[in-house]
Amino acid sequence: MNSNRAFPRWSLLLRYAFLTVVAFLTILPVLWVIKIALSGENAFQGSDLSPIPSVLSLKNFYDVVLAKDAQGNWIFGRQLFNSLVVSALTTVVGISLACTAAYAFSRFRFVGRRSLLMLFLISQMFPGILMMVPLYVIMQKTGLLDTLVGLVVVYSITSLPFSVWMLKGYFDTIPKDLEEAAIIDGASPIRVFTTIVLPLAMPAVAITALFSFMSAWNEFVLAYTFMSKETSFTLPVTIRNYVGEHTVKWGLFAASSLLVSIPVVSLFFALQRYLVSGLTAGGVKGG
Amino acid sequence: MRRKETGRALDGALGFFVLVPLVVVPAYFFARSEISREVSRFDRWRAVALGMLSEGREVPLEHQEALIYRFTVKSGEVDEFGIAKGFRVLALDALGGATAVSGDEEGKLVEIAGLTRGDPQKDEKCVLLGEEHILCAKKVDQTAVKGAKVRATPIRLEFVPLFLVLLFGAGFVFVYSLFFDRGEKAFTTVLGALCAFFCSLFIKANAQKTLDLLIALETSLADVPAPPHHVEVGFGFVFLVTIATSCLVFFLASPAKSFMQNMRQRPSIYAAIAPALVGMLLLVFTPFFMGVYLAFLDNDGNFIGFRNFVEILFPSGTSDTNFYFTLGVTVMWTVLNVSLHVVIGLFLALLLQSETLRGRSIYRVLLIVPWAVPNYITALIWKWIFNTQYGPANAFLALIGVGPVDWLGRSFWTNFVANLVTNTWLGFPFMMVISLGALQSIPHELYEAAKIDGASRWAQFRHVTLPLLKPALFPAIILGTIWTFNMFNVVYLVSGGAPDNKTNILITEAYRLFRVLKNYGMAAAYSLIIFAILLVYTTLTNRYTKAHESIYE
Repeated sequence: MNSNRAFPRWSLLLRYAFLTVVAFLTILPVLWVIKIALSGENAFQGSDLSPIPSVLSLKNFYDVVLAKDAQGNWIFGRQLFNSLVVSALTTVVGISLACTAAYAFSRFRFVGRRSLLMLFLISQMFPGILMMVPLYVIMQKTGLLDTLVGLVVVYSITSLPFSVWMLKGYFDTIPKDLEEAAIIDGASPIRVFTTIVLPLAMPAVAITALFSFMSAWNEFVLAYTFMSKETSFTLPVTIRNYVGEHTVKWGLFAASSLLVSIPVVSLFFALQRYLVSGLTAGGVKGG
Repeated sequence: MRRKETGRALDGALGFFVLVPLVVVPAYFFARSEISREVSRFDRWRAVALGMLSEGREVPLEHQEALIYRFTVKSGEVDEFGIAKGFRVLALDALGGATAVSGDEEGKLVEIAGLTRGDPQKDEKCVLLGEEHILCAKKVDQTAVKGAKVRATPIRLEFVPLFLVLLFGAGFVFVYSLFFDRGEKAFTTVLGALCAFFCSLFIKANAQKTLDLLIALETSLADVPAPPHHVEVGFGFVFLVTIATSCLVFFLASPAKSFMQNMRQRPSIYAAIAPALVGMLLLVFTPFFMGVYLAFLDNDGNFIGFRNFVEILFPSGTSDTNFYFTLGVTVMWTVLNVSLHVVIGLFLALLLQSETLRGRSIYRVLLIVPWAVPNYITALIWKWIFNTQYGPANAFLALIGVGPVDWLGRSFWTNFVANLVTNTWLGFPFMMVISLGALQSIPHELYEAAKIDGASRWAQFRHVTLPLLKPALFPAIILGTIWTFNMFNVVYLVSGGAPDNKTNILITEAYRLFRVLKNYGMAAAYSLIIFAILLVYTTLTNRYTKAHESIYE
């Protein structure tokens, strides 16, 4: 009621108008992609601003989903499977490692704590290109090259520093009193962690899991480098290859982009209410 | 009382046991890599012998056997780095020792390598091997052979004696600290130096033995010129390892001891961190240090000191890349992007903040769409939008009467703007969400108080909102800066560096050195410089943020 006075009617209208325009501009590229995807083979040759598709053809989707390689393998199915398995396992492995480590970093003072935390932070800045050749060699030596397990291991470990820092920041904001009370009541540290701390840290865990999943689901440089067969690629590699140096298949690109984005975007929106609390809890506590 | 002392002595010994390998193990791997370089040098030389084969010169049978003697070539496919074109070499090797290859195996190899038996292709030469085998081969490509993954079976550096030396050393430390209270540090340091000395001496002797084997092998092939040797596992190596270890032990023995004590008393803490830490050590820190080592090598694997760095920072006339121009572009790119992200994000957050705004959750969801869409897809979408012929960007310009612009063509600025627009679209939602979170945490009473004091809306923003946003926005801006500085996908996928690699930022330029120019040492040095820049940046900003926070507290 107070703020009603602060915002006069015309200002509110202006606000709506502005936000609507910006929101429309924001999703316009996405609408265009839907349009191209639905346009069949050659339907978008002329320049056209309208986001409403003039043709409705599912041909591009059929072509993407039913694509087969020379041996008759169902490429899309295999790659979808690869992507799903790799991303899900990356999330599970990464989050379990990150949660335990972050909890220890947050709750206990021990020798080497500060230097280890610093190391984790600095490793965030390691340039990927520097690590690529050595990683390739390590993967080759350990026989992980060209395997899904190898991808899972690399993805989950490289996402650790970010996850650990985010979770640690959130654990820091959870008051210790509850845990101390539980320990006095005789609960074991593991029980305290799983039944008290984890549920309270749900927003941060959810967001960290989301980012782990997204990083694995969207990665294509390493997947392209470490995998050699088309059947062992993940989906992003194929999408990137639709937009090649010489031939560009925009229709197939658009259709596969939509198919690939749907799971990750829906996951993102399902968890987006945690975004604010999960991301900012650590940083905002000072203010 | 007695037990506690045993424990403390054990901590010292364990600390010793962990510290000394920190130098010895890398030294061991250094020696290994030196030897395997020597092996691949030998292999290249062997390729000359193979070349003799392909030129149709007669190679005596015992020399053919020497060629494949105790080498196995692991098959490798043509990979992204263009290094391991091993198949052909594999086939050549196997056929070279044709007596050892059975009928079907040979058929398979011939099929893999695309070799034809008894039916030479255009540029291939054939020789008779043994009585019934015909080897047809193209002249062996030196670079292909260089990259073939070669493993020489007898070349092995023993690890067990090193372990025993360490064990003895740690035992002495344990016994000493059981019986004496003073002088532990000096004793440990001396012992560390001794251990390192023996270990490195052993590694050196071992390496020498392997090299002798190689040399013996080479002299048995008198027809072929042998390559010169220069392997750096001499007394300098022993000296360096000993000095490094004693310094390390001297400075880190007591922290390591208290670390061990801590670990022994509260093992569960370390158990919680161990899996993450071990993973990071193997897959983040090890590759990093291997990459650092790469930065000091030339493309043939020779150690060349800081020459890669010198060539980047003080380029000669013929340099492939202009570091300072790229750095300038990167700084401009980062500053413009982050400012746009913050301004747009904060502005939208302020608009969305009011509780009277209906449907604000819908707006919020629509406005974070760019964050949710995978960023490589975003980049490719914008590449299509900026397409000269059918991209909507030009369709829009035509609407307001401006002729078609060749966005991703020959002009630096149009390419740069295309990248910038793409990344702005991609990046503002993050800043918006952070600002929304920070805005929510500002107590209402502060605004009420400001209103009572008669502060204008602008004054409220200036003196209440902004200062309170700072603690949340600063870390986000630092993070955003690092991300943008290294925003590979957008630059690589939208402009791809066009025209003439001018719109490349540092990270994509490093990638170009790596992928296109195949200059791994330079690419590694370039990446290290990027890392150094970011490290300096975060250290400085961190200090600034801390100083800033303390003013407000």
